[in-house]
Amino acid sequence: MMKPIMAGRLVTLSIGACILVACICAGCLTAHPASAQKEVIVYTSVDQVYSEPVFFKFENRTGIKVRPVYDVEAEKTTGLVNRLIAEKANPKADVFWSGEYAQTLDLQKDGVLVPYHSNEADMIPSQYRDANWYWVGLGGRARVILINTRFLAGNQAPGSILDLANSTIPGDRIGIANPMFGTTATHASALYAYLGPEAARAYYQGLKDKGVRVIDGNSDVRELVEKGDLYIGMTDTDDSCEAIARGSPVSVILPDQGSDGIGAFIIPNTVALIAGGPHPSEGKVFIDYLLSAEDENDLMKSGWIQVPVRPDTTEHGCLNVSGIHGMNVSMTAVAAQNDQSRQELADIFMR
Amino acid sequence: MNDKRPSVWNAIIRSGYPGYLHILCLLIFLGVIIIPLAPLLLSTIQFIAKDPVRAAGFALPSGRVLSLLVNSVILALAVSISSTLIGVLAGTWLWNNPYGVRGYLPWLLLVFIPVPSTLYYFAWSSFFPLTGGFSAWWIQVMMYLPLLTIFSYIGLRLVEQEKIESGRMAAPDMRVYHRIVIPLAAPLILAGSGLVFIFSLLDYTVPSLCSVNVYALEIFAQYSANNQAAHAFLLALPLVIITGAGVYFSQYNMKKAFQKVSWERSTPVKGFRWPGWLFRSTQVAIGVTFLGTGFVLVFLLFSAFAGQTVAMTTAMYSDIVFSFATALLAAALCLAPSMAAAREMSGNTRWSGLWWGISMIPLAIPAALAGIGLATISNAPLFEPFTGGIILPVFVCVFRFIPIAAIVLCAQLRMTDRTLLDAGQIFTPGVIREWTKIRFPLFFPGFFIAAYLVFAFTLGELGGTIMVIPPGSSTLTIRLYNYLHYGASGSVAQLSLLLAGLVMLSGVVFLLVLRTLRRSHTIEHANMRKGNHDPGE
Repeated sequence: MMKPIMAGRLVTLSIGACILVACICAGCLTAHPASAQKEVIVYTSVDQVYSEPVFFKFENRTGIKVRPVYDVEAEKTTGLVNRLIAEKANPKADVFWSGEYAQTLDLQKDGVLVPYHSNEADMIPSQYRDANWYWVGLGGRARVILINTRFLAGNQAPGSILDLANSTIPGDRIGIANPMFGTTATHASALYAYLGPEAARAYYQGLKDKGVRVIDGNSDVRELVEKGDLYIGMTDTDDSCEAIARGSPVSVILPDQGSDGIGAFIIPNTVALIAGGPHPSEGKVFIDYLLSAEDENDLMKSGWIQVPVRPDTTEHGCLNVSGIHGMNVSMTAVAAQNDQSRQELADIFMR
Repeated sequence: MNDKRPSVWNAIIRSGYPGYLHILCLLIFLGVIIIPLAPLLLSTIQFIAKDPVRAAGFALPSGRVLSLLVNSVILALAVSISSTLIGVLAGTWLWNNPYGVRGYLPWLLLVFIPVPSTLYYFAWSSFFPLTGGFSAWWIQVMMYLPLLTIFSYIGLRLVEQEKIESGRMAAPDMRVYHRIVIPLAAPLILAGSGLVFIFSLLDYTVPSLCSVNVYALEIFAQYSANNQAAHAFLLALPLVIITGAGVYFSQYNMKKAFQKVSWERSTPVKGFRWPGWLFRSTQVAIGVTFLGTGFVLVFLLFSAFAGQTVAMTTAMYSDIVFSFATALLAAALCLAPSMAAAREMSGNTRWSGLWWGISMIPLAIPAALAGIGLATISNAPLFEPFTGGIILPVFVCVFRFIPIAAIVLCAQLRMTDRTLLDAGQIFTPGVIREWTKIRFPLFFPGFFIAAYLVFAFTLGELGGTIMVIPPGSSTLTIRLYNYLHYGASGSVAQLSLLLAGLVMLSGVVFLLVLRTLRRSHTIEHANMRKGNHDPGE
């Protein structure tokens, strides 16, 4: 049997050892020693599984080390934007790469960004870039209707998002992500801008009255459609492609494609240079790379983007969206509707 | 010991007690809480000065937002009360079955603490359609039941055996259980209930998946809409008040429940004669508790084997090291300051209520706000040397989980044999020896349980870490949530099992050390009671 004094020593030793190990780890992890290697710090809301390969390829190509910070949908992707605003006086990041554009416009408004005219952006149509080069759009995603083909044939699904509220499908089998967050919020602002606030409000009120399920996020909508809990859901093309890649019984409908349709809402990625970032030159090199045709093709192949912004892109992702009829609404007009749409949608849905 | 003067002052004037260390730890505790909140408070004060009417509108919810708050409180109360009832019964079963393999069961319940709540939803929704308030209630009860079972079990184990035996001589076992055992275990059980109430109140993921709107989501919606931390902070104020008041009042009547027993001296209850209905109830409760955990385990194992194997890259190893080091440091650093706060909370002074209130603040502040506060303050030149490394992620986790450590240690203090403390103070030469020979071994179970919980919760932390993590670093949890969004269910399951494995590993170490200590200190205490203790040893 162990003597008391030995036990006391054992406790002291084991605790001391734990703290020592943690301190050694902390020491190793705390310091990023200054080295000759160039580096760039990228804050990104693009999923790590898609952005990480881009960083690796960039590192191999240029020799510049990428030190990324990732955001996650579970935190409603509010993290990095607020972090960038908090760090504004003493910026830590060089580049912000967003999976959409509403947050980038917020950062521009808050004075976090600095203009950068990349030569690679000259080929990108003007509607996908800021007039003063504060940010530039690259390939993006579209809002689509995902259906479970076990329960619904393609021709039974409405071809327009505006018909969801009037369809014969029970409301509790239709799902949308919470329109207060992410791309669903941007989509709502776009409808406010395109249809006008009154018509957009009536549309969302119709969905609420029908009993449409409002789910946490787009990936959860996809998950529930795959499982058959929902027959039909509104989500993004990247989520839909993941469901297809997994062999789930789903089909994707590009909504509102007729000549009189409002068009599918397209959400480009955006990239911007941070004002006063520690590595501006490397940041510019990274932006040039991200805006290149090669990178857009890579992102199409990986499944992150489905709608290219460059006319010369040859790659098709899981969906062939060439000739897609997009919603004709400017990014700034959409951003202008953010406050009103969120206020009114909170009144409708968050009860 | 019964001096009515404030205990901080007592600490200074008491001879032999390291008052300066106590005060230093209290200052650190206050610093940990105040530092991340300072920028939020400042911006909130500025906002109130600029637009007091609008500020009042955020802090005093009305109409739609008030009804959301009421609904959320009702859901949290339902979850907390149900979990408490089932948890106490399940804890009673564990308390009654401490031998062999069954003695290890309680610690297995905690391994899924870092697992995302989304996975609980998907595990259950694989079998049942889950929508509405009832579903949200069920999933949350399944999530938090293990925590309450553990709190109940520890509370019951720490009930003084002599009191039980004395009671059994005069009254039937059921009455002893009802009138002695449960009241004495109540501080820890109710502390667990308070924690579950808070966790449920702040969880928006599960309710949202079940299409139920809650107040916590309103805070995020507000924050997401305009990026104004002051608005979100004011919206969170009702939660701070509700949670602080709830936990304080749950402990208010428990202050006199001091006992003369500690974990090392506690012996399992023997030969209790339960009424048939209670015996069956405890069996059902433990079955429900393990059903919830087992459901998630089976779901994770099935998904892990069915899905694609996650690639163990260098980045992944680095994430494991970063996560482990962060959790270990957070757990170690929590202990001293939370012990000091626990001493104030457990005291019989008029200040103890204030300490309870202060200690509960971090639990009610959304993680993202805590992170943003720390990110803001770390921009100050004074804090520049601490940025860019592991320190800020550790800091934010200490901020978020130090109340849990304080609650556990407070309960431990209330149940510690004070005659031993006094004897130790008299007979041991010097403060260091008193601590290493007497106090630390006596408080050891509380320290380790607190550290274990902080370790497990830190491994699963996301909202605060993401705001302060250094560029180029990541944690397993951040990676896991990224895979979760991507829909890689196999990778998500494998990472969840990895996190659970890390918690289990720390649990095994905890149990081994605890067992060794129990053996040895039983002898030491026996010697002390016989007067054989040699202070010079």
